[in-house]
Amino acid sequence: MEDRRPILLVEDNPMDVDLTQRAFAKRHIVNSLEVARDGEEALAWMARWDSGHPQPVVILLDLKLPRVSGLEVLRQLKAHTEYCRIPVVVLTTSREDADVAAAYALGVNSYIVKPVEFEKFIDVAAQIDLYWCVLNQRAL
Amino acid sequence: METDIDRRIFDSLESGMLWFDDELRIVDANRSARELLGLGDRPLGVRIEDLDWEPFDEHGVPLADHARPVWLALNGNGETTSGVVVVRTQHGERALRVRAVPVASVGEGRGRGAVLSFTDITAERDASRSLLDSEQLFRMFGDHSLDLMWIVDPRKQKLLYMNSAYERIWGRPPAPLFESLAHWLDGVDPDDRQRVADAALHADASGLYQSEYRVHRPDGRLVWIRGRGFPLFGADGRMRYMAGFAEDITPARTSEALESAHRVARERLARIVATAPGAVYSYRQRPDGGGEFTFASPAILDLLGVDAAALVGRGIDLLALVHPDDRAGVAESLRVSAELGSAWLATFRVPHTPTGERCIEAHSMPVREADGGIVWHGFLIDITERRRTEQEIRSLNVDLEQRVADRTSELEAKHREMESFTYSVSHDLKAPLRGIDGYSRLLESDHADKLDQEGRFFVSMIRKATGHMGQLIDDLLAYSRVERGRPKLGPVAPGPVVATVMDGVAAEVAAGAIVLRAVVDPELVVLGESDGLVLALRNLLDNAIKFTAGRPDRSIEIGARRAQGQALFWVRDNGPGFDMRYHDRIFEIFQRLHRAEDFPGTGVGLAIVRKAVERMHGHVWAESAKGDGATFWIQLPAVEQQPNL
Repeated sequence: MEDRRPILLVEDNPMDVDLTQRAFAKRHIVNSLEVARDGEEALAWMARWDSGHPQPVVILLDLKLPRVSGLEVLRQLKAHTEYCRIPVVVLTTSREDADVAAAYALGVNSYIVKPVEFEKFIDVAAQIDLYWCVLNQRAL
Repeated sequence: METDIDRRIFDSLESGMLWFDDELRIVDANRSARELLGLGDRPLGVRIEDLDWEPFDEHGVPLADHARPVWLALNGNGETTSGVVVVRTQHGERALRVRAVPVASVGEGRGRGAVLSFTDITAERDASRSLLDSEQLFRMFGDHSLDLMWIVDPRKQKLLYMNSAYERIWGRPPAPLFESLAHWLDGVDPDDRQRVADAALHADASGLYQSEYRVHRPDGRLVWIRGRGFPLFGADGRMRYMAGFAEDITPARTSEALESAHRVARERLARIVATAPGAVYSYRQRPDGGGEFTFASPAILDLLGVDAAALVGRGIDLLALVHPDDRAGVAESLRVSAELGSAWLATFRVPHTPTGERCIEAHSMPVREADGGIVWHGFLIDITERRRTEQEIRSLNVDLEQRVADRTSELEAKHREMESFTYSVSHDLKAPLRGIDGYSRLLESDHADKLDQEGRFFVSMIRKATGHMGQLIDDLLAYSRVERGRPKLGPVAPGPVVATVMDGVAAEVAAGAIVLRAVVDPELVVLGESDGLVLALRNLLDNAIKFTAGRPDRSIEIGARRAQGQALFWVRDNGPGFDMRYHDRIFEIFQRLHRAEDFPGTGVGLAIVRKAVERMHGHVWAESAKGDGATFWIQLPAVEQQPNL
């Protein structure tokens, strides 16, 4: 059974949000996509989960975010006793070694560089779907 | 006596005459003989033995009969004999010079006999004897004299007398001097020789001289002589002899010389002390640990703030004058100097001098005294100004270093800013590009049926441009990611590097039927950074692959060898080459020598090569003849080979 819990996308660029949604649609991913437009909003989701809102099957996290950075969001998530278990995939344009190292040091589950080409973007969506929404859940 | 005339003649003679017969009886005597011998009226015919005369020789030894001239004349072979006979008569002792002549007859009717004539030399003999006595006295006197005494006959230039002092003082035998007076100059110091000779010459005329000179003894000792000469005049008032003394004045001279040397040394010291920079001093530490100055030049006032007269011998300890903060250091350095006998060199402040606080440097050597005390002789110099200058230089240096550091970090910050600007611009450009690409792709895939042919062409052009821009941004990011910071340089073997690079392009090489050859010196070790070298060579290889595209016989050579102590890498292709006029420009970013239609590219690859090589302190350049391929060179420092490793 596929996990139908939502996917949380933390992304400030509306075009990227739209393209992500379309890429997921192309891959026929049915999970609802919840969006946080900056780091603050992303952290605010924790309160909703506290009050019973379903936790996401995976969080796709951009690093360059207004107000609170992606790395800070990641740090707080991974410091949380319960939400630290939610898989987090960094999806960013940065290839910088420092960013990659920092993300892994904070316990990120995967680090994916955002491709420019839409086709490759769709491939990424497929990987996420396959691994986090299908395989991962089956293994649990 | 033959005649009266004869008689009178004989009697007039001053010499005495006696006639003896062959039995030594006095046959006759003239007047002088009677008087001299005190014969008086004694009758002739007496034997000489009966006259109570005691005959002696001239040395006072009793004379045997057969030794008497008259006996010899009578009993000899008819020769005249002579001698001196001393006779003691009741009138006293008479010394007679006697001549005895044998005669055939001593008068009428008498046989042979002898005639004895004599002269009374008693007075003469007594005089000569007293002279002998006085000469003996003189010799004894002379031989006990410590000084040399001499007598010279100036006319004959002959040494008549010299006492034994010559041998003692000169250390030479006297004999040669008696041979020739020229030996007087033997051993005289060359510097004094002329003076001595002149004095002697002058003395020849006046007989008077005095001179001091040095003599080198055969045993090597040097003696100082003071000579004095004076004339001895005869009864006629003319100079007969020259006499003189010479004394050894070496001890006096030596002490005089020492005194003079001391005086010169004292004067020299005084002059040096007066002109020396700083002050000269002797500082004594008593066995009980207390200290005081035993000498100080006047300048000490400027340095220690105490007048030399008030300082020396007044029991003022140096430490009392030193700044309290520096006392422990000075005491310790003195202690070490005293213990090791090593030079005392110390720097300290003196708070109270006529010009306020001064910084003093002390130099000296310790000398241990018999009583356990230690004296440091040395000098003090004022280094206040020097210290101030040094401090200024130091602070200027610190300031300069700070400014350089500030400027460097400013430049580094600017550089980092530039890098991060390039990086973020590249990134930020990607976001809209992703939109353009994504939506044009969706347009193409989902809405193609709504577009006519021209519309679909436009979309494809948008997508192509997007792809090119994406490549450009990626290259720019790659360029900005070549770190400009300090590389981690170390020995790198080119073999594995070249192998890595070749592995990376293996698929393309195979697909493009390229002959790729590697020529690597296995001994070579280069000083560089493996990652940087891979990046540079990979870009050069990509470049070569790109520019040989489309040729039927694609050939590329990658190599590494040693050349003049440096490591040389090269990548050679048989592509179209380039115009050497632009050989510098091809390493600049975004510079391209070929049209994009011919050879795609962004103009970043070779810029990356140069950046990667330059940060390893290497050089990169290219050679080509248009239409005849191109060779790209990388030069890096080689590591010297250890033959036994």
